[in-house]
Amino acid sequence: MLSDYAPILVFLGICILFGAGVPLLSSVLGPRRPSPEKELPYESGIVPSISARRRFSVSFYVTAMLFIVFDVESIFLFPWATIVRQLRVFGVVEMGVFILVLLLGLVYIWAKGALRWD
Amino acid sequence: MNVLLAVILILAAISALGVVFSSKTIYSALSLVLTVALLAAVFLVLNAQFLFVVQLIVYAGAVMVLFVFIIALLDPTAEDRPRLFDPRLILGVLAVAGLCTAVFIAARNDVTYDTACTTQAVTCMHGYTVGSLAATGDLSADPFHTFGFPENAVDRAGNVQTLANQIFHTYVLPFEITSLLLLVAAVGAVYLTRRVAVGPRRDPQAEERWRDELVEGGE
Repeated sequence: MLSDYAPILVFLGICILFGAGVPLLSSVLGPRRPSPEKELPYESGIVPSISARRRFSVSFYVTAMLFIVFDVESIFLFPWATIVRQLRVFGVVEMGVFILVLLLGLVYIWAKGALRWD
Repeated sequence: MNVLLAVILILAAISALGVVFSSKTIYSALSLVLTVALLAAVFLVLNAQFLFVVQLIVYAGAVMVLFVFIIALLDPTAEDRPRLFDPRLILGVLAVAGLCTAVFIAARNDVTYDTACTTQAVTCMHGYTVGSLAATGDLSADPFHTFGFPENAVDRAGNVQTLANQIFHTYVLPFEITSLLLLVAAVGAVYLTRRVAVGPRRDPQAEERWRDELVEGGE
């Protein structure tokens, strides 16, 4: 039963080896000729105008929080879908109430303009 | 299987220590991702595939994204880490150690949770006898099949289906109340971050200084 997951474990092992091995190889084999331009965060890109180490906008927090809420909602749909035929109308009504409550939340969020990014 | 479980749990304990002792908050968060992923592996070993996926999607995914955003939201330059031998820390360690010992002793001695449970041989939880069906084969002891599913019955019905039957049949009201909990979380997040007057606080002087440093280093 658990041995069914052996390929995943092998895959994970290959991922770790590859992820650790390639930077190691390039640091061992690669030539090292540093120049001030190469030390920039983006070698041939735009010079960053401000430090990345500053506080982020609170909008990210709202987005993350709302993501969790609707993520958990969708997680409930998976087990529900496996037995919805046995539950018949009751199951549909039950999930309908659940979704309706969260839909009210979505309407509130929308009306408050929390989905706008400004 | 027990060896595998032990290895996973030892790794989880190590990464949990990493959460506590990391020098930077963001490293703590990354250690927590590893801890949560290893706990997901525990669920997989214990044959709870659905919980494994939920653990990865909700905890390692969504909750950790929230944690990282909160860390980014706080000022990373003004790190305020508690001293290692803060008296409050020692108190906290003692409290956790005491609680863990109590739970361990209770679990080892088949302590009954509900006094309505009359059977002495089996552990009780929330008024239902745990493991009664598996131990005695007595259906009447566990009228709602709440706990103690025979393993082959779960395999026959399906892991997710058994869980779904509990959520959507036995525990309908708690399930519906969950939607209210999520609603409160969503409304609370929007309310707490509502725009009052100012946008995100910026320190123009620090930005200027940083830019000067970068340009000087680059030229």
